[in-house]
Amino acid sequence: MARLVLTDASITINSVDLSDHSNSVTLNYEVDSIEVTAFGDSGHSFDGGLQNNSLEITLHQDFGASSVEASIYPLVGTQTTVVIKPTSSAVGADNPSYTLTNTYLASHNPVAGGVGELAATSLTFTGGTLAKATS
Amino acid sequence: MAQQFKVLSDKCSLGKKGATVVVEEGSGINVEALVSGGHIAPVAVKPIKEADSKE
Repeated sequence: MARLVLTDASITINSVDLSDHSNSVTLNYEVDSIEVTAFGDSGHSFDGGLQNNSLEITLHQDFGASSVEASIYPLVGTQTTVVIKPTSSAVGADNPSYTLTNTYLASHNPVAGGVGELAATSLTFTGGTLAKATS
Repeated sequence: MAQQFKVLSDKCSLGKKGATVVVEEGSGINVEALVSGGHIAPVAVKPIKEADSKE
């Protein structure tokens, strides 16, 4: 398996492909650790609890029709589905898709940046259930 | 309950622009946001004409 340099990640938010407006994505897959340590144990012991996922995406702001602002602004305060792939190629063992369903978007920065900088918005989706597919 | 929509934008992954797609309730898709963003539009469904309708 070759190493991967992220140059073509696929980002689909609420069925809208915004890959060409993103330059950063971090999907955090986490399961709560539920302590089940009992008397007699020699160390802490844990079982898996609920998924506790989050997803961070940076998007270049675009106020054009059906682009970033039009797609993201209505999502604030709601749940949606986001699909992430390492590359835009077809899903496969070497290009799995990660689908985060019922994830919540709490905030969005419609206008953010300093003078001379690219306007961008940093989104953090929290919660939801993650599923990985390789076919 | 499923509803039909026409795809209006190139960025929508539900289907190609101009296609009619069906979105199932509970699919995890935020339909209101897609409509608001100009990605899809509801397709008006013609009522079924009753064959033996009486006036």
